[in-house]
Amino acid sequence: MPRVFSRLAKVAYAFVIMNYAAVAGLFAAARGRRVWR
Amino acid sequence: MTLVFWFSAVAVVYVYAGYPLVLRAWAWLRPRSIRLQTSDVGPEPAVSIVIAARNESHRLAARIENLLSLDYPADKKQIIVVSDGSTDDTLDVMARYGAAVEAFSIPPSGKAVALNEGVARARHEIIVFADARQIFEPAALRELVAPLSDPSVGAVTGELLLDAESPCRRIRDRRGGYTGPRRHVEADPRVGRGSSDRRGGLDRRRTVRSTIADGVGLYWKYEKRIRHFESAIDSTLGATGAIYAVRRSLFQPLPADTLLDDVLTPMRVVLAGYRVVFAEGARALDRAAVDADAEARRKVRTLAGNYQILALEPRLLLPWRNRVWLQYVSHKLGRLVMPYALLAIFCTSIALADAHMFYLAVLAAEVSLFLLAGCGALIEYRGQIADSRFAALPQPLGSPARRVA
Repeated sequence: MPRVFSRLAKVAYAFVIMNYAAVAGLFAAARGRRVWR
Repeated sequence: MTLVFWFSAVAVVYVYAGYPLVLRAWAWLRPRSIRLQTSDVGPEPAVSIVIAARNESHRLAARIENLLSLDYPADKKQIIVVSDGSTDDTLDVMARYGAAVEAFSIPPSGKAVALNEGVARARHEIIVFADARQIFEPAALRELVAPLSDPSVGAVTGELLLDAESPCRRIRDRRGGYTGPRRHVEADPRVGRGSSDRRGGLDRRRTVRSTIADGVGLYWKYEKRIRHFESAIDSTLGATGAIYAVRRSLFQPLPADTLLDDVLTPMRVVLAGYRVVFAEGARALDRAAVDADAEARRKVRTLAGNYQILALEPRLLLPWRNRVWLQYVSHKLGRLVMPYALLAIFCTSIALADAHMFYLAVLAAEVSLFLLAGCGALIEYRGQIADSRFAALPQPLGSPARRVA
C-alpha cells in the first residue's frame, strides 16, 4: 500500500475516532458514566 | 437545507482551518510577550512537584530517578507522591528515596482529590504537576518555571512529545529504517541518564505498532501549534497534564469528580485575570496510546471532561467574564460540535447532490474520508493481529521479532 495512502488513512481514522469521542463524551457526561482512567 | 449545509460547512472550515489562521495572523500582528525578569520567584524558584498515582509502583522508580536527575537544584525541589488507594507496593518503592520524596497514601478517591492532597502538603509557591508515566527532559523544569518570573503569568504548560515525534523516531525515519505501521522507538538517551531502573524507561519507549499513533501524533502537532499561537496572544485554553506549573495562590481545590484537572485549573487561572502560557522548551516524553481502543477511551474522557468543565465553570461561556471567550468558543466548543456539523453536511449534501455538482463533490469528499478511515481501521486491525502473533512467539523469539520492522 503506498505510503501516502497509508498515512492519509491513518489520519482519517484518527479524525473519525476523535469525532466519535466528542459524541461518546457527551453521552458519558450526561449519563455520569465512569470515564475515569 | 442549503442554509444548514452552509452553516455547518462554514463551522467546520472555521474550526479546523480558519481559527488557526486567525490565530496565526493575530499572533503576528499583536503578540503579547512574556517579560522574563528576576522577580519574586527568582531564576530558580523552589517548586513542589505533585504526582498522583494509583498502582504505578512499576513506573514510579524511573519517574523519581528522572525528577531527581533534572537540571535543577536539588534543594529547590520538593517531590510529593500521593498514592490514591494503591494496592501495590508504591509506598515501599518510594521509601527507598528517603527524604527526597514525600509519599503518602489516601483512600481511593480519584485523581482530583489526590492532587488536592498533594498541593495541601506543598511547601513552595510554585506547584508542578506531573504524571507517573511520562519523563521530563533534563531542562524541562527550568524551562517550565521561567515564564513565571512574569507576574502576569499564572500558569505554564509544557510540551508533551509523543513517540511519533520524538527525536529518535525522526532520525530513524530519515534513515528510512522503519516503514509501515510497525516501528521501534528506542529510549531517548538524553533522558533517565543515570537511572538505576533503565527497564522502566525502556518500557515507556518500547516498540509501538499502533496505526492510530501516527494520526494522533499529527493531530497533537496541530493542536500544539494552536496552543502556541493562543499563548502568543494571551493564554492557552488548557495545559498538558503531564507537565504544567501553577502559582499555588491561584490553585483552587478541584471537585472530587473532576475529569480534566489540566483544563479546569488553567481556565480558573485565566478567569482570575492571569495568563497561561506555553513553554515549548519544557518537554515531557510519552508514547501515544498503543491502540485505537485506548486512544478512543482517552479521547472520550477528555471530551466528557470538556462538557463537565462547562458545568463547573459556566463563566467560560460569558464573553464579559472570560477574556479568551473567542478562543474558547472557537477551539474547545468548536471541537464539541464538529461531529454534528459533519453529520449535517453529510445528510444535506445527499439531499442537495442533484441540485449542483458542488454538493455532489462535497458528498464524494466526505464518503472518501469515511472510506479512508475504514482503511485506517483495517490497518490498525491488521497491526493488532500481527502484534498478537508476535506476542505468541516463544521468548526470546517474540521480543526481537517485535523490534524488527
